Amino acid sequence: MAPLSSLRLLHAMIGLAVCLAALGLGAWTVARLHHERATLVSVLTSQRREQLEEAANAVEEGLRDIHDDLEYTASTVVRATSGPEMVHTLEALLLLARPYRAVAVYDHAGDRALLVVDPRWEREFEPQEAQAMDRTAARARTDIQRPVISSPLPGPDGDFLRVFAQSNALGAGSQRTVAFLVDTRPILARLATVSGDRMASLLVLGPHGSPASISESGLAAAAAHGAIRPAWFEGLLQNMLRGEAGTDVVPSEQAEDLGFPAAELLVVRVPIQPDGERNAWSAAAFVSTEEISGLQAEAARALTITAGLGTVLLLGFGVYVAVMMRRDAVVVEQLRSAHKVAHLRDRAERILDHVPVCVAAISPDGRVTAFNSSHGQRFRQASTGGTLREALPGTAGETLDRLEALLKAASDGGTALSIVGERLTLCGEEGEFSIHAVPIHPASDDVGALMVIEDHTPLRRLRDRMLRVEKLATVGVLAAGIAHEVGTPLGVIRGRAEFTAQKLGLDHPQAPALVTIVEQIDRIVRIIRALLDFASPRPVASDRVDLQLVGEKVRELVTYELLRRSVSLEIQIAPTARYLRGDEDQLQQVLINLVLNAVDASPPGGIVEIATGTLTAGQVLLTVADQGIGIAGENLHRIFDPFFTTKKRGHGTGLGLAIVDQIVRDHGGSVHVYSELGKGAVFEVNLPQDVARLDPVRAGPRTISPER
Amino acid sequence: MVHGSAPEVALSLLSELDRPLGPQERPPRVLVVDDDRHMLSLLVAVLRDAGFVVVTSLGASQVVSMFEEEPSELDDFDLVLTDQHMGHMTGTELSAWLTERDGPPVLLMSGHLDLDLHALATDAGVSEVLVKPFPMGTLLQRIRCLTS
Repeated sequence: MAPLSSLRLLHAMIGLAVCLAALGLGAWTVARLHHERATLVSVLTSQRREQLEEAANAVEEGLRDIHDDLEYTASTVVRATSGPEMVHTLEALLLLARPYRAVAVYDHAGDRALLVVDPRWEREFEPQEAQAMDRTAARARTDIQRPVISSPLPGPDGDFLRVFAQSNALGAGSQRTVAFLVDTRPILARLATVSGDRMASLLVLGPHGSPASISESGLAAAAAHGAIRPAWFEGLLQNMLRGEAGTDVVPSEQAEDLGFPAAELLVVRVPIQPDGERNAWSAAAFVSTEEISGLQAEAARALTITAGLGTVLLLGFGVYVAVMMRRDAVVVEQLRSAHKVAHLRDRAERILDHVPVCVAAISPDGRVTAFNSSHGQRFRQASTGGTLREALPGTAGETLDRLEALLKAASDGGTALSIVGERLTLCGEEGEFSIHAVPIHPASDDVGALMVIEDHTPLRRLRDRMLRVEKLATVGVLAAGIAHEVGTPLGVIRGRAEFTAQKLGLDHPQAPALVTIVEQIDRIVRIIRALLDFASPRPVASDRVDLQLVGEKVRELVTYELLRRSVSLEIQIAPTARYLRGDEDQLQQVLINLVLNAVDASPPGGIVEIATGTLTAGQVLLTVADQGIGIAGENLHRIFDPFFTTKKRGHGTGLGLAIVDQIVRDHGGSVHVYSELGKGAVFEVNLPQDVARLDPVRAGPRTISPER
Repeated sequence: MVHGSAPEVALSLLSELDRPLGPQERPPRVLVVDDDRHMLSLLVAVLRDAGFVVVTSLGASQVVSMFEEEPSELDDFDLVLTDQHMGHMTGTELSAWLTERDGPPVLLMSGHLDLDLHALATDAGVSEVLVKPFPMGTLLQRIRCLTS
């Protein structure tokens, strides 16, 4: 069925769309996760770099300030001042917000000429710190006009102290060296934004490659001189020492070597060069991507939840579609079943409607619930919904009682019961019927039994007609035999009477008696000939017959009778029903017989009317009507029988109407009579019309003139 | 048919019975064949009364025997009047036999005329068929017609 297949196609397409959508969602999720990770890494890297660069710039600035102070002190203060003034200047320098804890000045020979210690320093100046200053100053003497920076000095509160020294030549043979003991803590503290980051580890290498105190202890330990460290870390350190900026990505398993979580490690390197490539520092931030993984996991979770929800929605939709599909299929199946049921019902009804019997469904409480439509003309008044009595109006009460009793007996007994072939009056018309009451098991509310009414009336008519034909055939054989057998004796009698009368002469008193013998013999002969005429098959000519002309001829032939009985004959031939195809002589015989009968039945002064008309297409209706004595009801169905006559004995052969019927049937027509006693009679003859009237070639003059 | 028979028609040809032969006429010779004696005697009476010379036979086979013995007698008869239905040989068979030998014309009588008999009679060379019972006047008129 077309709707079903298209529905299935639609469902298949929806299912496919759902699958594609789910796949797309999955692919999008995976892509999104990858993209998310890449984006996060890139963002994190650039953030760290920015952060580190900013901090490194601040550190670089601070270191450059120290270098500037050193240069200024070594070149200007030492040269321009001496003695107490210089001490005063240096003390002022220490009192400025500078990270210097002590300043030492060395003479040309390298001996310490002056040492000024920051008076605000909360702890004692240690002798080893002075020694470190001396050592650094000594190194500075060999590298004129350049700052020299020592390694960090171990201290009780961390290795933050370093010595910055510079030696300047103040003219020929005069060299002065200045050394600062610098607390690098406030300077390096600017990297605290990085070191304080929970997620990042900081490594700062000083000018000699040793890790600064601010560094994360693990990294510092690994970066310390002589420490055993992985090759990749060594490479990293070398890159830092070379002052190269950059980013390294360390695989997760290598990151684990340094105690980092098992995740990719990002290393951002930034050089700190306050004095060019000399005295270069370097800072690196180690960032584990574990954080990213966390973020990624979070994003993945969010995406997974989204995708999951989407999938659930899609699956739900798919399930919904499947359920709908199933439901649709069920609905379609139901529709198909309903259609089939309707078709079966329709077919059953049609079959029932065309069964040539009347079938009525009777409910258990005696109501007629249904009639098939073939109950036809006879039961056209029959209706449903009421009792049998209401459903069949015009039916004798006695008959209804019998039918009801029959139904009851059949229902009670559970078997079908019948009234067979009885003359009954149903719906106001008499006929021969068989009636069957058929109980239905199990009975429903509206059908407890069926009443089947068979109308045998047409069959009865046919049987009567056949009987008549049979009778006629018998008559024919009989008549021929009689004619043959009685011909000779009649001939002898007639001849003798005739001969004797001739011999005696017509004047002889016995002559009339002899003439009577001859006349009566002739009458016998006429009867026999009429019988033979009637019973022997005659060929029917197929001529164009003008009923107007035939009517006029009949009028001529019966003029004597009309005058004798004082009856007038009216002929009214309709122009549309004037011509016939048939045998003119035989049709004339029909009209003569009917008219003579009508005249016979008419009272003096009566009118006999011949008329034609068209009742149905291709048929001519010829009627002969009189206002005479009419025909008794019990005789109506016998008047076409041979030898049936109501005339006085000797006045009719009883064959006139039988011959009419015979001829009309030979012409393919039929004859009916309508009459009531005392109300005249109407004979209706239906004959096929002259169709050749429309054909100018065939509608010529008569060419056949049959012998009479 | 139930009409058209006026009483005077029955005896209209009675005058034929009274018509005498002309003086110069040789009386025609008629051979009458019928197995019914009553009919035969009636016909003989009527024909002799009308002046015909009548020879009778009670059967067609006797006629045939007679002519076979004396073929010359075939020419002595002006007409053969025969019934159709007889014992051994029918009227039409006789007619056929006579026609074959160029015999006299045959007037056939029958109790009943149907299409079969009409065809049979035509084939056998029968000149005319009279359906019994027929008026004697008609018989004489037809015989005179055929013998003149």
